[in-house]
Amino acid sequence: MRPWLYVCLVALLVGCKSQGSIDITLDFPSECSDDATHAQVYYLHGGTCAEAGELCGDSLLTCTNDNCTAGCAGGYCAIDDFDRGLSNTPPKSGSYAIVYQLLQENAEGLIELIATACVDGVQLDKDGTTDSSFEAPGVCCGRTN
Amino acid sequence: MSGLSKTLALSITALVLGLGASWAHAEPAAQLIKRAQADWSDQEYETVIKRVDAVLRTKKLKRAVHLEALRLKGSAHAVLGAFDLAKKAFEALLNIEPRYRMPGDTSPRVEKIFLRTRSDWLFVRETALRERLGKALTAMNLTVRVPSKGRGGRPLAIGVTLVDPKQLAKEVLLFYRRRGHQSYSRISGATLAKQTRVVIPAVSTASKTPYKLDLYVEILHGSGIALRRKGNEKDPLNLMMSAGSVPRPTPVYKKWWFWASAAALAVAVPLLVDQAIDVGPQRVTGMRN
Repeated sequence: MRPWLYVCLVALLVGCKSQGSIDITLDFPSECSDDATHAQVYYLHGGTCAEAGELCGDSLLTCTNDNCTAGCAGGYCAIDDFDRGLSNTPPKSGSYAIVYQLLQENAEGLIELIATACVDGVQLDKDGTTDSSFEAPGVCCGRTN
Repeated sequence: MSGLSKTLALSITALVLGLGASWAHAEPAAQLIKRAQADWSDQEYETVIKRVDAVLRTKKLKRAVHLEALRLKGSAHAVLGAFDLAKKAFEALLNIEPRYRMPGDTSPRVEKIFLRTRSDWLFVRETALRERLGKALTAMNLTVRVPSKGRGGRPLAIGVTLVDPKQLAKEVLLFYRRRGHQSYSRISGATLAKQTRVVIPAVSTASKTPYKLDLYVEILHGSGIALRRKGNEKDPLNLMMSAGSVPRPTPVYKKWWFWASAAALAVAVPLLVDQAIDVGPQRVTGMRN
């Protein structure tokens, strides 16, 4: 291989633009968090945590409009996956409110919301090469059993 | 017929005859020269002289025709053994073109007479010019720098330095030939700076075998007479030339800058393209602490 090709490949490896990442660390109270068996995440484009409403409401948050994108392929993610990090790239740039939910599957196979956390003002760029990180506290939701 | 009528009739007759005679000689000079050249080939030397004399009687002659007529006349006289007449024709030729050289196929006998005539003619003209210019010419100094050796197939630069306070020089001439060749080639420099380089082109120095290059330099006055010279036709300066041919131009893909540019482009284009394309929004990773 010619030397200039080496130079080119090295330059490509070193100089190429790469996608940035936004890391969100969530601190859930251990008294409820430890019982979680599943997790879910919602990306609310142009939304705020306040607009998301009562996060520990009776009904689980569902995406009902185009500005909401659900993670976990619309279903639930295993809690082990959440512990390793749930990664998604929302479809468009802009400001997001991101809602995380911890869920517990009971003996009857029903899914119950046990904790939630919301992060406001997560800015995604059109050409997202920058990195940032957030930390957010989670809250336990009332248990029905 | 009255006396007046007779006179008029005679005048008209004379005019008609005269015009007829003129028309007989009205053949264009260039055509006459061609005929004279043909006569020369047929070794009809006396006819050559008659024809060129007819040409030389023409009042307005082109310079080239004039020179050729005198060359043929001098050459024909030389062959016929009329050396004084040959010399006279050659002198007339040199008066028009002091730098005149006989063609390469000239017979040695004619060439010898021409060269002797030119040598005498130049001596007289140069002496006269030298006397006329006096101190102005004394102040002129010519230095010629010839390299000790040259490379065949490469341009050869000869350095010429001229001190000419009175600006008498009009032209520098460099004569060169491969030793053993009969005639010199010449390179002319129309303007002469104080220091100049006369370059023998690469194609003229190319040779399959080493050889000795003879050369001499002349500084010419406006009249065409040499004011100064270094070396001369019989006793030239010389240098050894090595064998060599004119190098072929390097193909563009063998040039270093071609590959450097290609490498730069190969690096820059992907980078520029990469920079121009958006990577999309960041990846969001949420994790339980």
